[in-house]
Amino acid sequence: MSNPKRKYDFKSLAVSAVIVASLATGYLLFLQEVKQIVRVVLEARLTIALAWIVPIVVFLMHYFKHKQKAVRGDVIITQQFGVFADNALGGLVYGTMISTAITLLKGLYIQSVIGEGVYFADLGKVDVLTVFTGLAFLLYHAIVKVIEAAREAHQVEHTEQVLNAQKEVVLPKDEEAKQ
Amino acid sequence: MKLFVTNQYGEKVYLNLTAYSRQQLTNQIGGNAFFLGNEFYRVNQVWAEVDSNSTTTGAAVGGIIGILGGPIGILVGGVLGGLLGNSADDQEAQQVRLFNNS
Repeated sequence: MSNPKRKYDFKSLAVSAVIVASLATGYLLFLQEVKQIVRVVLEARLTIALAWIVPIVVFLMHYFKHKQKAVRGDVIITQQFGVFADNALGGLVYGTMISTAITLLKGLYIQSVIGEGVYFADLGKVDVLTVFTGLAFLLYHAIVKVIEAAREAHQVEHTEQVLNAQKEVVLPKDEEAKQ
Repeated sequence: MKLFVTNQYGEKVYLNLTAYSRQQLTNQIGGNAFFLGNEFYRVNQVWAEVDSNSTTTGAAVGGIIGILGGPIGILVGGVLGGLLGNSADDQEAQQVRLFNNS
C-alpha cells in the first residue's frame, strides 16, 4: 500500500519527468521526422475512427462491468434517461470531443507548424495560440476521462461483490458515496 | 481509492464498494459483518489504498498533446498535465488517510 502521508510521490514525479524529457529529446533529435509523423497521424482516417471507437467501447465496457457487479458508477453526462443512456452518451460525447479537437488541431498544425494551407485565414497569432491552448486542454480532458473510465472498468472486474450478513448483495448508495 | 481485505492466504481481495469512512461502509452494508464469496469479514478488517497514478498519466497525455507545440509545448503540456494529475492523486491520498484513520 502506498504511503498516504507522503506529500509528494517522487516515483511518479520521476517517471513523469523521464517521459516528458524523452519526448522533448526525441522531438529535438528527429525534428523533421516527428513533424511528418504527427502530420500523418493527424491526417489518418484511422485516428478519427479510433477517436470514436475507443471511447464508445470503453464507456460500454464501463456500463456492462458495473452492471455485472451491481456497482453504480458516477454520473458521466446525465442519468436522466437511465444509466445505459448515460454511458452510451458518454462514449459519443467524448468521441465527438476528441475527433473534433483532433480535426481542428490538424488545421492549426498544418497551417502554423508545417506552413502549408490556410485553414484559419482570419486568425492572428494570438488567436491561433488561444484556440490551440483551448483545444489542447479539451483533448487532454477527454483523453484523461476515457482513460479513467477504462481504469474503473478494469478495477471493477477485479473486485468481489460484497454480501451482507444475510448473504444479500449490497448495493452502494450513490447519495452517501458522493458526500 | 480501493477498499480491500486480506484473505486467509495473505492476498488482497478488493471490495466492489466505495466509502469515505468505516462508518459509511457499515451503513452501506447494514451491519459490521459481511461476506466476500464464502469468506466472512468485519468492517474493521477493511483498508483503503490509492488505486490510480494520475500524475504519470497526466504528464504522458499532456506531453504527447504538447508535441503539436514543439519542445516547449511538450514541456508545458507535460508539466501542466502532471500538476493536474498530482492534484487528483493528493486528493485521493487524503481520502485513503481519512478512511484508514476512521
